[in-house]
Amino acid sequence: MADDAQVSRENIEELVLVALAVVAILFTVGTVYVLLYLTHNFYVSSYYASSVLFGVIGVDESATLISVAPEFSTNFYILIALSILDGVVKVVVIGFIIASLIDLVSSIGMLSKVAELGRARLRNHVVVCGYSTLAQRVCASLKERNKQFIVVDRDKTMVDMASEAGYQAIHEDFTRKHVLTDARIEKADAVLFLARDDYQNLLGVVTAASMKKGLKIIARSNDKGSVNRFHRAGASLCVIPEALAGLDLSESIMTKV
Amino acid sequence: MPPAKPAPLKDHVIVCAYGVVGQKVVETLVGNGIPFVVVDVDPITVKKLQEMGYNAIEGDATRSRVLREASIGAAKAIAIVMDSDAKNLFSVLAARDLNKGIYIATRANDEFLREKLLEAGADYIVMPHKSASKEIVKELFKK
Repeated sequence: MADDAQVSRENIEELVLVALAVVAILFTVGTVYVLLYLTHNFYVSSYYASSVLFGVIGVDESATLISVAPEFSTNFYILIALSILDGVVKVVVIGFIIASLIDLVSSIGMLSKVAELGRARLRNHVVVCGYSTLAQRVCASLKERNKQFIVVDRDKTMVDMASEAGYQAIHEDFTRKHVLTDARIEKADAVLFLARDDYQNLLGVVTAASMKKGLKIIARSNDKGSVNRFHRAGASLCVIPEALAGLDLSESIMTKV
Repeated sequence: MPPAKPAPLKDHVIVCAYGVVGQKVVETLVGNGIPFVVVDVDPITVKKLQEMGYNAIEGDATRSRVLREASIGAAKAIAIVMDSDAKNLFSVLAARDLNKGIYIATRANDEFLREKLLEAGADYIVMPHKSASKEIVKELFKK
């Protein structure tokens, strides 16, 4: 969290420097343009450029250049310096106001609060724990059928993949009660444990079964010897992808022999 | 004393790899009394199968020599179900070369490889995650 704040501050400082550089470039370009095409007087050009850029009170940008330009006097240098300073101060102050707002938003976790609001609307949904290859297929099918669901995975890469696919996703360990609560398991129709790790899936089943009676729990296992354990733990269905594929393949062979 | 090689088979099924998929295929074949031979690289697996009374050959199913040893020329079907899509592809190509009329059923983990397996001569392809996903969705929407 401290690292994120540090990065945020550095980003803001970079932005402010970029803003100042843009202002300097605009001032230079404005001055050069006026100098080349409107007047050959450097002082008038720079005054006009800074007036337009920084909004000096009393200057009307639509008036002709000569009518708004002051007579040259020793006060000119002070006026232009003040004008530039005024503009720079405005840019910096606005920049820091924005930076402070961003700090405030990140410190109160505004983005995560927004995500929580999104989750609060979940009802009769499916909680998909473990964004494995199998889970990705299931999520695609659920999306086709307009069934609400949320993905939970402790691997940030998988969570990012799910988010990029447009799914709601939580970056947490799905074997923890509070994580399943965050995923609104009490309002869910079903929870799926589809991670590649049988131990994680089994632990998830045990946790979910203790949280809501009658919840449909589907798990994935890699070992047929574990299926009974999943059922005893509370899973209504335990799938072994390879075993299902084997049955499917056998059926096709039986039609040919 | 090493076990005797199985007598040449005819109209049998060759099962390449005795993993979870291969085991299901063998179960079905045993249940239906269909002759078969299992090809696996693991000598312990092969020994276990032979002790159970099944025909089994130790070897790499991507090699033509091993498939010939399994009498591929006289086989009706071959189930190529190794873990690696690339090995399955290799094996499908070899099997089709050795027996133009054999029924080749295989597995794929990747949609792209599935297309390649079909081009290589496979007749039927299963994708474990696709099968499992169908079952899960069916269960979810069951009334």
